[in-house]
Amino acid sequence: MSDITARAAAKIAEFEEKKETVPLQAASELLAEVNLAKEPDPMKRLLLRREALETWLALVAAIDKNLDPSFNPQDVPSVKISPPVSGGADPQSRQQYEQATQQNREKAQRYMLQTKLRRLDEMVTPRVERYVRLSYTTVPGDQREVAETVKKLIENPQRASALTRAASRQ
Amino acid sequence: MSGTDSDSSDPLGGTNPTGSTGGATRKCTKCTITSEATANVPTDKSRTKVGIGEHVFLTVDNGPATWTLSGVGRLVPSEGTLILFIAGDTAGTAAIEAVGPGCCCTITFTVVEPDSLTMEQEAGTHIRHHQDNPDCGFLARPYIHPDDVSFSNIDVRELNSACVADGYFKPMDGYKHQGQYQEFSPWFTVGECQPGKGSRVCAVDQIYSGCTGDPPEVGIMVFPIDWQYRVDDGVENTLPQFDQRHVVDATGQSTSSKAGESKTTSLTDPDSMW
Repeated sequence: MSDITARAAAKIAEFEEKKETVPLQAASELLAEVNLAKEPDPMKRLLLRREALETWLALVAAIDKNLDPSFNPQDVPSVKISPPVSGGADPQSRQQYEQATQQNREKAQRYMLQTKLRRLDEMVTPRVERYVRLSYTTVPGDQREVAETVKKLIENPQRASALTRAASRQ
Repeated sequence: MSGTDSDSSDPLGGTNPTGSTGGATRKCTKCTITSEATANVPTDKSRTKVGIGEHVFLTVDNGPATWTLSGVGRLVPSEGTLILFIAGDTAGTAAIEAVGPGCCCTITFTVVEPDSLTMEQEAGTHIRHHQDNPDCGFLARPYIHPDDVSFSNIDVRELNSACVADGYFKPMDGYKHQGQYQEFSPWFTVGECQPGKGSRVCAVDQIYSGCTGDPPEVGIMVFPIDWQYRVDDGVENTLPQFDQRHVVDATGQSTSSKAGESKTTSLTDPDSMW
């Protein structure tokens, strides 16, 4: 694997572990630096093209897998939960307050992940589709490579369809 | 967004595997960079004043070009006709140069950090009050300033702090507004800029005086409030401090104020919840 695609793949793995979008953003920036025209060896160029395709698709597959379709952007978290008037001296109210605070913290983390994944998706999707459109010709071998890679990595049918369209320049 | 698919080194898509470089032999004597901020608000998308972390597409005519940046931020990628400038996480200038075959051109951005935060009662919400008690509360939405850039790529959070209280609120002296057991709130994302208001924080604050159960008397309770911001997981910076203030007057009227928003209740107001 090329250094750049290996580093991008490592960033995608880091996202899956941490569920924070900064590594995914970094992966997309690395992949944007792939420049096939600068690889003089035709065989290495074809290999790099396939590796970059697989890594781009792994990136969008990670986005798709982690997007929550039930996410409601209007349902925002609270900056804080007002403490009980007793100041927490009463064990029951303190327990309820701590529970509410923890739930709010988890809600804020979910909100951030879902919001940033959507923003990243908006930024990355056109890049991936252009990569496919500009890097692959309509000859059967090229089309087959795209189709097989999409089939292997992409579960989202809308995404798969858009990528296949991009490859065939429809 | 501009740019053409025929560009063999299009930054959004990589390059054609045939290795053809349509621009490599082209000569130009003059080039121009155009910019387009990705944020929809402020509406001037060609502005060169941007917030930390903002994203701006840059296109050079007579491209492709090799791009270099002097200052805060990064370029993605560093070659092509259409690229993305991502402003850095500190204030400063970013001078960006595009060097093509036989020509070069530059564009300079001023990158600014947030300078303040204001709050506004959340639309569709009410005042919190218990009849015959001098308490007052409301839900508020924070906005990040200035409003002539977008801060939608920063995160913000509020630090916890203890109050100084006297009079009616004396029993609460030393209380913390986020409770006794946490140092700061979670981080929150920031949404689109609202003209005249600033970039809207994706969170709502609960601002409430509480009530002691004692007979109403004059009192005051003040929390020093700090908010922090960051880009991605970068350095945390702090906005200028302001107060969250709760005041009860001699008639039992209660006023709660924070970051430019203020609400008042009277003792006899009926029970209500935000």
